[in-house]
Amino acid sequence: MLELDGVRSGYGKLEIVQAASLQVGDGAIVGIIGPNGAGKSTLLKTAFGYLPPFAGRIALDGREIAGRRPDEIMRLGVGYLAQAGGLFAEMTVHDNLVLGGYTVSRADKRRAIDAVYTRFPLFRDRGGQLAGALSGGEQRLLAIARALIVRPRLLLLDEPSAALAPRFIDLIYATLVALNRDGLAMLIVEQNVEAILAVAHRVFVLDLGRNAFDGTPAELRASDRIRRLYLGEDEAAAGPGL
Amino acid sequence: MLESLLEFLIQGVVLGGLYALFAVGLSLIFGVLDVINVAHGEFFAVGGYLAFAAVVLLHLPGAAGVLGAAVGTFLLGLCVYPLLIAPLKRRLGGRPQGPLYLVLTLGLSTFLQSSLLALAGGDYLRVPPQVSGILDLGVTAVSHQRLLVLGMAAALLTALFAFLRFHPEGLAVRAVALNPDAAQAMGINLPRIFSLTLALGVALAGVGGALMAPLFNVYPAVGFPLTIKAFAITILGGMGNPVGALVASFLISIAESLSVMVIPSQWQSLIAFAVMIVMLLVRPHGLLGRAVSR
Amino acid sequence: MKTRARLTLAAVGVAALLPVLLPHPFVLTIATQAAIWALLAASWDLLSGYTGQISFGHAGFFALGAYGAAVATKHADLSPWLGLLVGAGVAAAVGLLTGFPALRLRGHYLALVTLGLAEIIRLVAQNWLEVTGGPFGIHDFRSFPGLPAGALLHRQAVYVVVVAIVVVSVAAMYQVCERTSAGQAFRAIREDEVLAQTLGIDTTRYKLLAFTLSSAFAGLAGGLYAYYVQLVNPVIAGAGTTSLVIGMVVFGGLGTLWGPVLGALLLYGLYEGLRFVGVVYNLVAVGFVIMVFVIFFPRGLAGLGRSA
Repeated sequence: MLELDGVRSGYGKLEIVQAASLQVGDGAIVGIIGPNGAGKSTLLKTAFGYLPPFAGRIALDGREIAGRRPDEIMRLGVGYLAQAGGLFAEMTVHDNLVLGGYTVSRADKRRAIDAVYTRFPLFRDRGGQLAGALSGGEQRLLAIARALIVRPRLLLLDEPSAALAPRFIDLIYATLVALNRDGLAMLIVEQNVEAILAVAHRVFVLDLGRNAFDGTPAELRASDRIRRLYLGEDEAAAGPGL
Repeated sequence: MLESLLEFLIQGVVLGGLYALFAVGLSLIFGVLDVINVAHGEFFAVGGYLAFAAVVLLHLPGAAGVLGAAVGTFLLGLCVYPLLIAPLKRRLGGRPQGPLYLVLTLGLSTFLQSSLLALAGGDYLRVPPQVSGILDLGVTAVSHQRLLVLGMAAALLTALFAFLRFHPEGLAVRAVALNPDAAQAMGINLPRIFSLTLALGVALAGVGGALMAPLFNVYPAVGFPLTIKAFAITILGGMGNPVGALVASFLISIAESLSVMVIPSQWQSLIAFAVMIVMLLVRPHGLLGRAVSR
Repeated sequence: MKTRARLTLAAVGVAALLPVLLPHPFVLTIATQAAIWALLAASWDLLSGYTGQISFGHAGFFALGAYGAAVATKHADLSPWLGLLVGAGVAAAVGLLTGFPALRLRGHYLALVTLGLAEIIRLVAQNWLEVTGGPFGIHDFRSFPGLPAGALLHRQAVYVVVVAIVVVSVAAMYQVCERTSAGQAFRAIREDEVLAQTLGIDTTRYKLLAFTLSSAFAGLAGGLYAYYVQLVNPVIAGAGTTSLVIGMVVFGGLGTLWGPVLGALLLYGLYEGLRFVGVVYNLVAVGFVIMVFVIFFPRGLAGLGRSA
């Protein structure tokens, strides 16, 4: 569904992603993990059009989308959830949802917002509250709810678990899994390796702007090297005799 | 004493309508595009010239002059973002460099003002009032023309705020002002919103120019003193906050008007600049801060 | 000094000799005023280009220098040589005062506060009849004493005086900006003020220094203007002056000092030359130049041919 091939990108003259490739199959959950500064978020932003790639191919359903604007890519059925500050904090919950439906007709918008209130009842009574007044976890949920209004086929999520209490992390990921069962594909950049390994079909490891490894979560866990380098396991925990 | 107070108060309110038309557009442009439009006064002047052309040259009724000014400055305003601001933005690659945009719009201001001088000459052109007559309020008299300015300002600004509050495109404009990245993720076309906002903002100034033409006369530099004063007003209200600009417009106009009781009238304008400098030192984000209004 | 700069200055130096060798009144007029603008442009560059404190109010310092000089000579009967110092001194004092609030402001807020200040100066000049002569300004104060009396010869002499003062001033500014630790501090402040502070640079002191120096030289340019043109009025504190100066620096190249000098000479030549063909189009060209150069040639003429 989404294919990145040999993508190079960065900010101004600073090249952060040196050569990254990955694929997201229809209806799959794909994770991107790696050390800080590896270029994970940069790659996601490039895929969504916030940054033009210096080189490489980005294709959605086989169609080249590199260099397109974010709003154009969004209209092709892709949603993007920023790591922080993705909501309109000074606007109400309801207005945020209305904006989520900017590209749909008024009737569809009303139906979709009602569907969101049904799926996420906690927002129903808080439509008039400022989005910025919600807790971190609620804001993350609102961002997801908002993205669903236009019924995307692919969601790009930048560290959905960042700065969240464990209970909210579980809730967010349970929600994502449920959405995925309905057919929604996802590309998730994550720092919280356990959370993503538990749900992803495939994981790509990015290090210093390049692909370092990719495989299923089981394959990742099976490799001692990967476990040590990227899955944050202690030397001591790896056992004696090293 | 009370009579003079009332008289100056009323005159101040009437003047505030003009300031509001001007400053709200300027503030909106800053709030959405992050650009201070130094050329705002030139659109005011263009509005006056269009009114002159419609009424004096083409012998159309006064209302046509105002409408022509609105449409003409709107169309001219649509050109500014794609021709000037977008290319600079592309070159800067998203790095914020406020002063460079200021220099750009300063260049535009010089270009427009001197183009007007080249095309139309420097003479003060006279435009007949759209409405004649005077309203006698006892304590003071106000010309119907000035009341028209106030009335149009009230109507247009009400429409603008209603648009921003209720219309989906208005919501989009506010979204872009608050969070351009998130706005794009909602499917909002940033260049389109930028162009639209800029055109709307300068069209307000253009209407002001057409309505004030009978009072100020029309000449190339007629708008510039207003521009500088409008900077002071928008800073007082909070740059990027149209509601703040609205409130500050009246605060300044009434202060200016009342000040005539204590200082000679030619020093009136000092008030606005003194206020601006004090605000910048004490509270740069203005009385109401930056957020676009609800 | 880079080759490009050397070559430019050599060319300018040769051009500077022309009015002396081939004295034509019109050429002398343009050359003298161009030199004055070059000084003003260089002074703006010191503050805005080198130190990154963008000022939209240099017309105000220029006017303070001009009015200071004119008032000193007309009302206090001081010699124009002293008048120049008075003008520069007044401008420097106001510049220093402006520096204090400017410490806390950045970007467009700083630009607006300086614009407001220039406007206040213009308003004062326009309305303080007793001192400034109101809208009509001050005229007919003496020019530099001790110069030859014949009409053309006198103009040539004034030209030489002006150019000499301008050259010395620009050289001094260049020395400060490129060869002293103060200049290094200026550039550090422009690049990253927070970093400069952590490196132990007293940004307050250097910012104030930049403001004072810049406004002093702007005032000196104003004084020269006053004695040359023999008329000062509120217009010189207005937007036209600010626009021209910024245009010249953007055209020539921010942050190089010699770029603005070149930009001033060329743009002023263009401005006056166009005035020759059709009075009204000259400022149109200036506005056009500003826009085009800000967008496409950010480094001005100084940066042409160099990679980004």
